[in-house]
Amino acid sequence: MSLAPTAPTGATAPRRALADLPIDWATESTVAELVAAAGGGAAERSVALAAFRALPTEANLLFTGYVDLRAAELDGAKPAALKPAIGELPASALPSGAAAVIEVSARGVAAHIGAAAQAAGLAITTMPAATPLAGVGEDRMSALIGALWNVGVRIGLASGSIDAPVIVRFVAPAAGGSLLARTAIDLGPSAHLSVVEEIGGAAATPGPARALLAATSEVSLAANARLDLSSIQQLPEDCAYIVARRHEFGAGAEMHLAAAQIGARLVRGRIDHHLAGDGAAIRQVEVVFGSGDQLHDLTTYSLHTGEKTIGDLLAKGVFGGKSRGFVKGVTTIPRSGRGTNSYLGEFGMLLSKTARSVAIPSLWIDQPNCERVAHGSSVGPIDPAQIFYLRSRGYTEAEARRAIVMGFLEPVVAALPLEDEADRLREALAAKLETALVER
Amino acid sequence: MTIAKPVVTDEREQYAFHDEITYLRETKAGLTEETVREISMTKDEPAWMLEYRLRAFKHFEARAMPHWGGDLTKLDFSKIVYYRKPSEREEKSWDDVPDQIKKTFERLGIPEAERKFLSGVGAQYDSEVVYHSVREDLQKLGVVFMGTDQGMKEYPEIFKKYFGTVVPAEDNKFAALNSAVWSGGSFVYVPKGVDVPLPLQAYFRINGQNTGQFERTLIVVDEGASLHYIEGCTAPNWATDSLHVAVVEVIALPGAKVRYTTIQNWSNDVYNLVTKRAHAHAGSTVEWIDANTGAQLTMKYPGIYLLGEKAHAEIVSVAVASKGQHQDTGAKAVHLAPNTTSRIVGKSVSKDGGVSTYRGTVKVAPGATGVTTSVRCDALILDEGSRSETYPYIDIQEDDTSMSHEATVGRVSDDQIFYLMSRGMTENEATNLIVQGFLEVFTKELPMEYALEFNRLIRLEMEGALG
Repeated sequence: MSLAPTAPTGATAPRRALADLPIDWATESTVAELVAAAGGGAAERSVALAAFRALPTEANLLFTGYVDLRAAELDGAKPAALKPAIGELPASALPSGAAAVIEVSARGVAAHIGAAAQAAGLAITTMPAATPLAGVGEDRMSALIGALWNVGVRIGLASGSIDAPVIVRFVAPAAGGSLLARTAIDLGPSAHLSVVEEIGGAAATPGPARALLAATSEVSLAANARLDLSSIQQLPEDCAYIVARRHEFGAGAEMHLAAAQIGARLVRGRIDHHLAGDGAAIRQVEVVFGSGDQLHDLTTYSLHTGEKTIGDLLAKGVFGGKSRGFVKGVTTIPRSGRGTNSYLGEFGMLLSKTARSVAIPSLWIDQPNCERVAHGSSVGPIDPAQIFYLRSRGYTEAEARRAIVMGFLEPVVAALPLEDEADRLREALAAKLETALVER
Repeated sequence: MTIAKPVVTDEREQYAFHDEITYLRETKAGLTEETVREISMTKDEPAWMLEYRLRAFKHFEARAMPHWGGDLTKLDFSKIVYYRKPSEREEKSWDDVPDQIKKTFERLGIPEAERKFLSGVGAQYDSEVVYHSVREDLQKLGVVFMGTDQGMKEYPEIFKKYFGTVVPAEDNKFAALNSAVWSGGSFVYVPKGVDVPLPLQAYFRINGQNTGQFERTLIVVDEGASLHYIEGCTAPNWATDSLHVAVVEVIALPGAKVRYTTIQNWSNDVYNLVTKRAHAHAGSTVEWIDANTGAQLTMKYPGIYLLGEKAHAEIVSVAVASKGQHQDTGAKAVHLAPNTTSRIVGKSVSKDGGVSTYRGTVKVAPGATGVTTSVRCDALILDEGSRSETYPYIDIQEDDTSMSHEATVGRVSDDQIFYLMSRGMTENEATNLIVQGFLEVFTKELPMEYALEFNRLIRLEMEGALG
């Protein structure tokens, strides 16, 4: 028998390191096209491009072992250079009970503001071309967006309260395309606004992620402002979703964030809460539901520099098929953060023997005088005692399993402001659960 | 209210003396291939061990310094003396130990402890073991407790079968360093079914300035046998860096029970960079009971690999970080077999600018079904300027795992202090009591004599902690 190497029988993809993210359009010429279309911002984008090239994919040494971007194949998926403008959507596009609707797609931004919201002072404007993106110097994904964003929108409310939510619809590009969208939300003193992100796209067959939706939420809350931000991500399975959220809190400002990650082939998300104002509060619930080959890589950083700030963070993950979840958190309380009340919970449920759940809830504490600093984490199967209980109430085993998983995910569903939205999310989760239970 | 604080010196002052001794042999400061060859030649080792050392040395040189954990930038390998031989041989009778060294260990209370409540004692002074003994009745049952160099020569079959299997030379930079220049340590073998009723204790003393101590401990507990091994360590404070880089390998064969207790009390100039790991086979139990109060930097994460069904791991890790200290400690439980269980408890106290880090891993590998694991880590910060860090890694790859993790960081509550002061205690006494209670999870696992000693150590560490 010959031991000589044989020629490969088929084309094999070149090996990629876990953290590699080849993007052949991350170049000066693409930046120049985007600057020309936007009418400025060359300096800001150049800084970001340099950072994108210089930074490692994961700059935090605690997490370098938990990165895998190999499912993203984004070469050629260059974003279109769009002129900044906000098109007008018809009034019929405004969902019942909503204050305004904004659609962000590869074609640009279009919006419609209801009369009441307009009267209340809600402003939806384009993002100025020379707006620097905070965090580009420390996070490579932020740097990518800072260099190559092609769509930007600002939502502002200087004062007052609008109870009805602003709906922001993100429509993913088709395979071979990219949308890099920046969204800023600025709330003035004591202003109150509710925003719901609906993130989706046309159905696609599972496979490598050849489309990219990269998005920011850049939130600035003045003293005593309150933002309720809900986000439901149901991207098609050929899409990579990169999200960088950065939230600045003034004194007494409060944010309720409810996020559901259901779709996309690959999700890499980073949230930075900077609780600088005394008495600021972030209450965050995030659910992740993975199936098939999905990978969710999510990190939340909470920095409590103000006094008596509150961080109440809950992440729940359900993983079926061969899906993986890397859920990470860093809570930092410097010496200035006296009286902080901080809790970080990361809880997982595995539905299959080939799924994987990684939780890394970290604490970095320099201030002993805190009201509470704690984290908790658990991973477990569906509790047989709960199944037994429900079966004794007449459920079949399958029904009992569904009820328990849905109950596990309910906290984020319950946080949605519109009942229709909540129902749609329940349906999406139930459909996903059916898929996951079949994959077992 | 003014509170009178009793003036008490730091516990470690009583260990701070050093002996002016003439070493029988010592290598030049710094580490080269020649140093490795010289150590091996001095020990008259088999050729395979020299090859092993050289392979490890190459890996040590090639491997980068860890970029995580504590600050290692000031650690200068070229200033360390890697081998210092204080006496001709390892003695079995206390009377035969050279006088000066004997006096040192008598000041540390070692022979007295042996007489009172131990099954055997080993004592290492700088690079070499100077004394080892084990109770005669246990010797008759086949229990082996001797220096690792001696174990390699007298029990080559056991030694070769297990040495380097739990912690390979290439495991990390410091395991490679130890594998290249190791000297001394304990070799323990407990035959099938033998229960060692009282602990075996090893005591490690660094005496010389800029000394590196690289002991290598190999413990094999055969099927159904049981052992409690205790180690303690001290060094004089030279105000120049010393280095302690140990490797400990524990093998608990099916049904065995092993408890490994450490009370680490190095002086504040010691870098304590230790790799401790156990293999737990089917039905065995391994317990690491680990306390770190000394050293300028400790990086130590006792690990248990659960290789056999129904093996159980228990790790209790406590740390006290005072001025100038960074205790980067934690635990690792790696579940590789079905129905294995683990429990990790970490407790740390940071004061006077000290930094405590809990760094832990729980991993459940595919195939390890029915695992139950829990982690609890709590930290106390006694003052502003001190720090607590918590980095747990939880990686679960089986759907029927039951894992829970909880952590808290806090301070001593004013209410508790007030209550105890209203009962007549001073503020310091109240704080001491609360900290002792916080660390009780460790002390209650110690034999009574050690628990008393540890509580005393903590009390003295805590004096003057307030204000």
